[in-house]
Formats: sequence, C-alpha cells, structure tokens
Amino acid sequence: MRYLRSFDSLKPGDHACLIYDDVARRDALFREFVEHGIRRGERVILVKPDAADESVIPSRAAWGQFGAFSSNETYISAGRFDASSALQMLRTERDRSVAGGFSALRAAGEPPVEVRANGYSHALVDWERSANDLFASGRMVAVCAYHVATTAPDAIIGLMNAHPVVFFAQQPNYRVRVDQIDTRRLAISGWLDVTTMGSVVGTLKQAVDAGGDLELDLADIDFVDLAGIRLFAEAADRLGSAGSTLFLCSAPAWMVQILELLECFGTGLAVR
Amino acid sequence: MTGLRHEACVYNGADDFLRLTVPWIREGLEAGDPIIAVTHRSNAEALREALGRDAGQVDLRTSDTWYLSPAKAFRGFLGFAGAHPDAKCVRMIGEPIWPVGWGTAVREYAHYEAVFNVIAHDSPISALCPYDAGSLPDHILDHAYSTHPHVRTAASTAANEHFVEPDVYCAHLAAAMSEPAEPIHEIGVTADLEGLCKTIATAAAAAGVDSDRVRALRLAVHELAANALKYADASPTVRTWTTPDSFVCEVVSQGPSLSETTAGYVPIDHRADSGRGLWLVRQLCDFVEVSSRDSRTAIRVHMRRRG
Repeated sequence: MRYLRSFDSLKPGDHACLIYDDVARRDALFREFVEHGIRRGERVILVKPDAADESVIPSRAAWGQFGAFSSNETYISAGRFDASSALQMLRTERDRSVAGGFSALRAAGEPPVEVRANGYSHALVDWERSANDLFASGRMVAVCAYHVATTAPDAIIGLMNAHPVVFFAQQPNYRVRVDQIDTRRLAISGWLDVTTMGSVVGTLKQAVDAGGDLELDLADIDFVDLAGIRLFAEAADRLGSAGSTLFLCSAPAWMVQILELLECFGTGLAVR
Repeated sequence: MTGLRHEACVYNGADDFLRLTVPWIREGLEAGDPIIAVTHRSNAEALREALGRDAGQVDLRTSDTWYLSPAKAFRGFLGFAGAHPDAKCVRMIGEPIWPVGWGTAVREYAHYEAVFNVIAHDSPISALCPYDAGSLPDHILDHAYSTHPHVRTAASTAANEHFVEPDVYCAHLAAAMSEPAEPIHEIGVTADLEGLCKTIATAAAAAGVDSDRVRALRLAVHELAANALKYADASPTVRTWTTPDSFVCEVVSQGPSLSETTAGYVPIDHRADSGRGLWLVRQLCDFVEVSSRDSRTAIRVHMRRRG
C-alpha cells in the first residue's frame, strides 16, 4: 500500500482508494482528477454517485472522451450487488478506450451506499481486489471513493488494503510546514515526526540561537511523535539555560498530555 | 525494610476485607509509613468509616478511576512511592477491577502483578492486594497465587508456595496470546509512517474507538512502527483486527528480542534519547501484550470500542 499526497502523480496502472468524510471535498478531487485526464487526452468515465455535484462533469471534452454512468446501475442489478457485471463494464470500457485510440481509461466513482454499508462489505473488498487485474496492462487508472461515515466499519481497512494506492482527502497537500510569523514566533503545522522533522530543525535552531523567548504556534499541528517532542524539549532546554522560555501556543490538548506524561514541562517550556 | 513485600489476601465479604486491611493500615500509621489504598468503591467507604479520624492520613482512592489500564495504575503506584523518597516503608493497597470474561485484559492485569515483583524488587514498598473470593472466578484467584510471593490471612502472613518466578509466569501469559479470528488485515511498514497511522486511525474510528483514544493509538502505532523500522532485520508488518471488546493492532518484526516480562514497564529516564517508546505505548493504550521469542517480536495493542 502506497500513500499519495496529490492526485497529479496518479498515472495509468494505478488503482487508488480515496478516503473522505466531506462530500464537497470528494467532488473537488473528482473534478481535479477528471480535468487532469481530459488534459492528458485520456478517456474519462465517472461512475457518479447520485448526490455528486454536477460540476464534476467536465465542461470541455473531445468527442467520445467523457462518459458518465450511474453508480446504482453500475453496481446493482436486480436489487443486488452485481460484482461481475460491474467488473465486466470496466473491462469493456477500458478495451473500448484503447481501441478508440486513447492512451488509457481514467475512471472515478463510488459504489452506492446500499453496497458500501450492508452485508456486501466483504464482497466489495473482494471485488476491489479482483479489479486490480484490470490495471496490470497500464492502460487504466481509477480512483474509488469511500465515505468513511457511510461505509461498513469492518470494511474500511479491507478496502484501503485492497487498493495499491491510498489517498486521504482530509490531509493538507504538504506534510509539515514551518512559517516564520515574526522574529520570535514560528508556526508549525501538519505532520511532525522523525521522517519529516528535517525541514523544521534548521529554522527552529536559528530561532533558538538568536536568543530570547520564542513562541511556536501549534494550532494547526496534526501530529507530533516522540522525536518531535524531543526537538521541542531540546529547544526549551537551550532557551531555559539562558533564562528564556519556549512558549507552545494553542497546542492541542492531546499534545499537552503527552508533554506532561513525559515530564517535559519545567524551566524553559510553557504553554500559552 | 530493604525491599518489596508483595502480598495477596483473599477476602470474603466486607467484614473480612476490613479484618485483613485495617490492622495492616494501623500498623503502618503507627510506624509513620505513607499509605495509599486503592479499592473498590464500597470497600473504600467501609475503610473510611472503620478508620474514623485516621482516614485522613491515608490516601484513599477508588479502583474505577485508578485502574484505567495496568500501566497507568503501575505508574500511579510508583509515583506515590517516588513522592516519599525518605520513607522507610511505603504501604499500598491495590485492588484492580478484574475484567472478568475478557481474556486479554485479565492476562494483562496478571502480568502487571507479576512484573511489579521485578520492577519494585528493591523498593521499600509493602503492597497488599485484596482479591474478592465472593465475586472473582477461580482462574483469577489462581493468578493471585501465582504472582504474589506472600499470602496474608487474618491470622498470619506467610510465604506463598504457589508463587511462580515472574519471567516464567510472564512467558506463560505471552504464550497464551491467541491467533485472532479472521479477518486480519496486514499492512507492510514503510518509511511513510503518516500513511500507516492515518490508515489505522481511520479503521479504529470506524470500529468505534473514541476520538481521543484514536489519537493515542496513532502515536502508539507510530512509535512501534518507527522502532521496528529502526531495529528490525526484515520489513516489519502491522496486523489489525477487531474483537467484541477492542480494536487491535499488532506490530510484528524480526530482530533483537525484548523482555516479555519488563518491556514497557521499566520507568523511563525522561531526559534519555531512547527507551521511552514502549513505555509511552503502554501509557497510551488500554492493554499491551508483548511476545518476543524465536527472534520474532509481536507487540499487540488494544483500544476499547464504545460498548
């Protein structure tokens, strides 16, 4: 399983799972994905959930380049989840696209809630797994959206695991970011851990070296691991030994709890 | 007093509880020992009444707020001892709420009793652990007899012939970790720890783990996976599944082994660069099982689901 930060890097051969909780955000990502395919001259199909915004349909496309299908009709026949006809439909569309001179088929969609939420959840995981074969030829790329709140809880991780590529809609498109607000105030946001802290260390060190109280605005921090905590503790030690303080501003409650558990507070470190 | 005295006492009813504990507490008060008593709510009330004016000299707590997890209770007791560095003897009464019927949770409380003998071995602590024979099943009383070097009755206190060496007992508990029922989901650990943690967090939230516990689990899995990447010989994996009680995540790696007895229970040096990860994982999660044998290490963490 590979995690993706931007749809731009999806290419033919990729079968991606989009995990989201906000329908508007899903539709924005669908739109981005569809437009990208249109620009690249791929054939694009949308297996459109009933509630999807009309703006996901591209305003400009070449003759035969775009098609929209109803999600209900694709996945359900005679009132039941029909895995084999859904798979056959995708295979047919892929082959038709290639035969029509397109470099690849690009598909985006979401199974209807009847299929996501009830007793079909394991059949759906199996279906996603079997669909991986469609991508082996490198002539198809797809994004399968799954709404967390309306997908069967026991299927969520199986669905992510069935896709070679996973994308979380709620994440920012950067990992960690450090912004210099003024000389004595930095804002750190995103995911700070042992794999991302390299981009923070230098700026923080400079600010600590300059001396005097320092404020870190942590209102938009999503995660800090032990290595990140240690980074703060060391900065606080150095400031504290010079009689100054590192203030963690708007630090989320979970982070304050971890700092307390690790007994980080004392000379040089305080929350504000 | 030179080292730990760790006694079990099996009682039957409130009067019996008081017969066993009150003289022991009064003995401590006379000696000027700091005393903490963590007991079931009804026992705490009975103690308060029986001790009368002296109740104010005992730190009386109730089990429901103290035993949030074995590791949190453990930290609490060591913290109480640490707050009285000059005491010749620190007295503790600890009565967990045994999660009868949840095998993993019972094993983890048994493990906590066993490892206390090791970690507190040289500390001037006298610990008395009451077991309610009226409500606890035999297999939990068996744990009591296996993990306490001494047994106290109203008449006497004596060495316990059923006591099992902690390493042996913890290995026995680790061996009881059973293979879960399907479906188990397996994910390879790569340097993209953020993706891994978000996957686990999404699944845990969907399984009904409270959001603040999901955040704790995310950090726990991150530290376990990062450690496995750093020290393991081959690519580690994360396995996850749900049980009726909990969402479970297991990080499996090949490489240097851990102590099944003490891993994550050794108090940490807050200024040290390493060795804090597993301690933190135990503090963050509801239950943590460690199996480390034949160069395969599996650390299994449990988070309660909303019932």
